[in-house]
Amino acid sequence: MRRKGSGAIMRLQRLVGKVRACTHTHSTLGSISIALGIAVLSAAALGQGWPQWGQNPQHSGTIPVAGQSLSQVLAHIVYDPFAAQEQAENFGELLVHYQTPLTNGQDVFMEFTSGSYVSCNPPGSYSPFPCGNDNWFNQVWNEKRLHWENGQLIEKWSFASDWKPAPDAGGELGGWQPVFHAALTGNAVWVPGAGGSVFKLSIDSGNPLGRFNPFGSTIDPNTFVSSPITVDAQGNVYYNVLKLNITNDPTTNDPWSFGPNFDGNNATDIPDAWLVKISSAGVINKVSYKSLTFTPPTRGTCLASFSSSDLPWPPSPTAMPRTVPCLSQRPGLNIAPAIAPDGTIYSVTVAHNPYASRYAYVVAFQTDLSLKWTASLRDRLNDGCGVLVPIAITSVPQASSCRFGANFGVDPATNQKPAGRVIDQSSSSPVVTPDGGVIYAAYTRYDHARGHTFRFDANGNFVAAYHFGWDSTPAVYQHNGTYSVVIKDNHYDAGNYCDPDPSRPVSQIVCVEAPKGPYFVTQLDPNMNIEWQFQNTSTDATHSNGFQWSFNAPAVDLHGNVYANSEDGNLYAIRQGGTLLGNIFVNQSLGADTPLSLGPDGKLYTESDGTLFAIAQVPTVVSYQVLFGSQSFTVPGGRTNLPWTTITGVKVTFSEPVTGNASSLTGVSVTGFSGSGTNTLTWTFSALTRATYNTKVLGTTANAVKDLAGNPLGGGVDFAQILNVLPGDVSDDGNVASNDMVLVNNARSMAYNVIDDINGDGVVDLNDVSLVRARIGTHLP
Amino acid sequence: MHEIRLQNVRSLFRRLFMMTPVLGLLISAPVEASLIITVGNVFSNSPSSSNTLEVDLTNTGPAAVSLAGFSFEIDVTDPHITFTSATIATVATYVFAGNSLFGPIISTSLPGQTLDVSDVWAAAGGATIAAGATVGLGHVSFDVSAGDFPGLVTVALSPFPATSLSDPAGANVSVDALTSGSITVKVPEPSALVLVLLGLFALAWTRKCLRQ
Repeated sequence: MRRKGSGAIMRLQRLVGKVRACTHTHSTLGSISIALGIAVLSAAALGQGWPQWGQNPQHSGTIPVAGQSLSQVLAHIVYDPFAAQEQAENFGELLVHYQTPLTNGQDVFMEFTSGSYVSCNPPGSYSPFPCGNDNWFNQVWNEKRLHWENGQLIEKWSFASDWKPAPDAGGELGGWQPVFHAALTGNAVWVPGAGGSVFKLSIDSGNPLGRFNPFGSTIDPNTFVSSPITVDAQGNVYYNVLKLNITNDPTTNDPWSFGPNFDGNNATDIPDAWLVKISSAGVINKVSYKSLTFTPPTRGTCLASFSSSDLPWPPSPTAMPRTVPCLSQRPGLNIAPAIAPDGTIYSVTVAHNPYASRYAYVVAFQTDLSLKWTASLRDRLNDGCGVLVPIAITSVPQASSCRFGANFGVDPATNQKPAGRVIDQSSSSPVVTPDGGVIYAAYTRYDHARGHTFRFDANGNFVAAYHFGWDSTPAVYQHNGTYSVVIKDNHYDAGNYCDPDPSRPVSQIVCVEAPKGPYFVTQLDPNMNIEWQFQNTSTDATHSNGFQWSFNAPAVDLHGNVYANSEDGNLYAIRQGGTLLGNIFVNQSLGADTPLSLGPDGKLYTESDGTLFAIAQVPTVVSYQVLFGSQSFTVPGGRTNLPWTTITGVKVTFSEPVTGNASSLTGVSVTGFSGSGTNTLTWTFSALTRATYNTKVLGTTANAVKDLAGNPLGGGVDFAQILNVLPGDVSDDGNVASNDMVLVNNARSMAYNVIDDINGDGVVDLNDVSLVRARIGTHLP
Repeated sequence: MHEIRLQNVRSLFRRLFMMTPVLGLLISAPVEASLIITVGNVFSNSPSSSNTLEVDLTNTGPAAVSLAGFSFEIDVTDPHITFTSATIATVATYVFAGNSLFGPIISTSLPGQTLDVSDVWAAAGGATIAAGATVGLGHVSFDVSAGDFPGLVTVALSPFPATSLSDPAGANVSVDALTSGSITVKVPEPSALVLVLLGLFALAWTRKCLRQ
């Protein structure tokens, strides 16, 4: 079994195994945690580019420009040189959350990692300490400005931040590396920094314009910018900060509060966590999540889950799982605050105890950071046993089923109504809906680890849910006075609510892995009903039912076309209605889910294996014609040699309107040029004499033919066309001989054929015969 | 006598028997033409003008050949010899007699040491060159300027594609051999004139004596 989204689960299981080995206790955790969020909103894009996570303050993932056709990969740039090492460290999976490629005009802003990566020996062993996931601190996170020049992304500047990710701490994050995510305002790039601070950089030069530290002048190494940076329409900046308990002793270091026995008990609470707002004027405000009053109130102790020794779950209709200290509510990792048009700020919190991930809230703040409302992700669902998980029909343990007699609807792991879980391995962030409500995609384990997507209204009332939500920031597409929600919808090859454990024979019966797939891109209506689905149908020897969708935030263009990448290596464009618009192969990988974005010109940006790919509709040559007399001929046209005596021009038709100049055609001495701005460019010159001309329509240099979006011909590739001009060689055998003369003479009494019209005057007559005759004996060198 | 006749018959059968494989091959082999273009050999004085030579095509193959176009190029290295033109007034029957598209003058080059000649069958189809037939391709005129040295000057045919044959469909027809010709330049010398005069004188004297 290998499923994205299950990486966290597997790592947690590994961690649990480690704990068992240390403590001889039987953790009841079968998988990881949770959470859920919600958020909302508007699909109106702020700008033409893609300045932040989810494109706009609402994270709707939509942009009011038309995406270009997926015709060519224009550029591919490695931004994470350690991807292969990271995959080796994590059982082949790239458990890194990456920044969305940010776009602004002809600029692309992207994170690039440098520094060093210290692999473990063997990879994945977490030893010798500190290595692998415990050695993130030796990497450097840089923000780079790339600029399109002549079809290439050219680096303009690079800024090395001192930001470090919150630590994995021996696998407490399951190896999932938190995101480093910048955002753009009008003239600045906002980049995460160390100690909960952020840098404001000149968008042009990359020079720091300031460093904003909500905690004074101290840079606390235990305080982390823990979310993407969000900017609102007014240029205010928002992000989350976590202050963690960190020690240098790996045996006691427990920032994520698993507790000394890795059972959630006796764990130390998180010191604090904040939502930070930096106004466009540079005024810093923050609010402590610990200061918030949640409704329903938070609890001192929280229910964990049943032990695998109690399988099948729930152990009985009245069973209660063990309890753990809930600890404080704090924002989940990677949760980008979302800003509604009215200024409401949405975030998502979870109990800090990882065994209490079923206690999570969507939190709404006023613009002054005062609390507006909170909405729990608990007690919203009722689709566990008997719905998504069958109830055994006898007392005999049954595959993928709740225990016989289980209560209808409950989560088999808790015997409670299912709860959306916020887990730190996810990058799900709230999305504001056009009606002011909020969507959050949370984790749930009891449905083959698919999670659930929750929608709340603007007042925090639960509206609806859909049973997929793992690592997903949905796109919200507005149309016809309503909106739709676009998500990935993978069916993972996980056990229904638990995983097989060799030490638990009953688990081998109950926790049966599901078959892989199917894998959909699904569009939902506001009530979370399916509007359409698009299924991945690629197959290979190990994927008989398609490949997973590998995006964590899709992109939707002006027309509602959905852009989504898949583990089959393709970037897909999907029309409204769920039909394929186009696709292009980029790179097949088993990496972490990644976001997509569009540029203001409709270019597509996607990521795979630590490499950024830019895809666009580039102008291509549709036809290349030579002009002679009043005639023209499309080359090569099945010919090697051109028999005409009056070739005085070249007319090239492109796939779209283009610009160019006289120097855009080389290989001949151009004397005239026309057509710039249209689909057809024409170059003229003196009649070509017998010779070979290596012509090129330039896709490179300053004279490159470019489309109106500035994309160069062929994505930056010259179009070469050899013209073998051998007047008289109508037989195309490379020689002018008497047979050519006979052919043209014969053609005088036949239907017009431009090949025989040697002078291009529109008629084949004795003049043409004579022109051939005069050249008998010639050939090309 | 009878025995002699019998021996002759046996000899005939023996020869026929020995020739059987050869005949078999000949019968089974495709019928192919063997086409030879030949430049004539002529004598010309220096100086002289309006000299001529013939360029002919001979079909030595077993089957007739149909042609609709031809070209040939001849050249000499002697700068005193200048080809001036070529016409269809060939000694042998002109290949496209009665159907020349470009005749009577069928050369395309300017006077010089190289002459390009070509013509096309004007009507539908082409000319048939029977097996064993020789036809004219061009009646070439040339001048020899004063000051040339006596001797033989080779008139060479240029290879394909300058010299070529085409069938009525416009396909190349292979020429199996290009046979160069020659112009033997003669330069009248004073001693020779004297000998001629002496001869004439002796002839006249002899005749006179005989009469007497």
